[in-house]
Amino acid sequence: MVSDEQSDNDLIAAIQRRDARALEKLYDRHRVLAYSLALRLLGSPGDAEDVVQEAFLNVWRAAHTFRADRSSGRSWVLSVVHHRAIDKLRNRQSRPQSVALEEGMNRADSMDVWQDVAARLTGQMVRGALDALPREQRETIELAYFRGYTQSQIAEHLDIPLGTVKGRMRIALQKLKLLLEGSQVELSTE
Amino acid sequence: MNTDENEHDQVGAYVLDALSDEERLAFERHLAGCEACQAEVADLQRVVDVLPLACDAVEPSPALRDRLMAAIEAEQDERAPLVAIPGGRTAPRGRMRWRLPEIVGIAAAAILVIGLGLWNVHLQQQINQDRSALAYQQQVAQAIAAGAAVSSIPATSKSPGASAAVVQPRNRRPAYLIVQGLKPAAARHVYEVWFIRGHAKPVPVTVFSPAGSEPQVVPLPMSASGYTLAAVTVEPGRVQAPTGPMVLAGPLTA
Repeated sequence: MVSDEQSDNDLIAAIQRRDARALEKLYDRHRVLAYSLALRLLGSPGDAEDVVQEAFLNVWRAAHTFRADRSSGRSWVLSVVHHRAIDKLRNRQSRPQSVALEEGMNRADSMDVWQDVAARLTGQMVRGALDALPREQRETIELAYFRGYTQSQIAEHLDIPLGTVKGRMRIALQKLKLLLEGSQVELSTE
Repeated sequence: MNTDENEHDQVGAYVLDALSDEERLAFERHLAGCEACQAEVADLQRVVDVLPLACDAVEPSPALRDRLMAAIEAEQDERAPLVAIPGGRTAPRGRMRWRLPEIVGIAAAAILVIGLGLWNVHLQQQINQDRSALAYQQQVAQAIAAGAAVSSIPATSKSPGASAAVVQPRNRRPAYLIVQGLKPAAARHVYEVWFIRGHAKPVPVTVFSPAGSEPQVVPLPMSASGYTLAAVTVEPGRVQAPTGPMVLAGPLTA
């Protein structure tokens, strides 16, 4: 049986037993984050929906590879979405510009109110932490994670040595960690 | 060339998905034996895991959920035993058994499994209610048993979750289209089947409307022999040249 109280890990365990309702529940729980991430990367609602569908099909097919001791269910699902979106981006001839979120997109309106508020507050804190990074570090995270550049492409794009890019990414993440811990964003797995 | 020493520097790029495939494989080889990197990856991954929360929340269309679940159901059906072969085998998930005519032997059932993965015993209930559908079903089964060519006609991006197959009986007799997962066409619109040979103009074959969510046999008025492609488009009634979006398309097996 699938119930609201089940954790993501419980749902993934049920998916391993080929329970389609568990997959449906997992999708309902994370569809907004998954789609928002794919849309931010790809800029196209159609491509974003394709990626989310492929990602959840991947989750369905590869649920047995999930390691609960290494990540939370949500992190795993979102990392699958990110990988698929990156693959799609890198296969494109040209990159889209950053998504203008005001351009006719419907903001989520059907999430549970409390979940919505919590997600928005957490989102604000994450954005605040990103904004608090030095510009060059924030830019490196943006290009790598949200725009799908490889480290070599970032070096070329910014015209800086590859070693500098590597250093910036590491330092930026370490600094983000400190900032997020300071702002009480939950970093631990579920 | 990377040495183990400079592999340590890849940690940030690794968790951000910013390594090329080659770099990632090299780093993962290093990671397997480096406890320091494993600890740092785990630490930084927790930061990367919250980055999606920085995106403004946008709701996907409700249709995405339907498409995903249709695709999941199709995969489940593909993996389930497909038809009850003569002698009777219990159909999956407790549904009724479908007894094909005796002429359909194990070989034909195997062809069905391979060629028409989506055509499952769901058809039973529909067939019971629709004798003409049963007649077509029997004709298709007989044709396959007699060595018909079966061509899978996949969905385009316009119709995710749908699938189809063209069954071409021997001796150039009229073919059949078996289709599943197409949504009802818009008001006053129909699906139109086309056969195409090389670069010649598509030949209109027939029009049809989906009959529910179950697999549907559409008898075609002509043979597919000699044609190289089959396609289905959405049209405002029967037309002589395709105008609407293509929802299914695929090569025809000779």
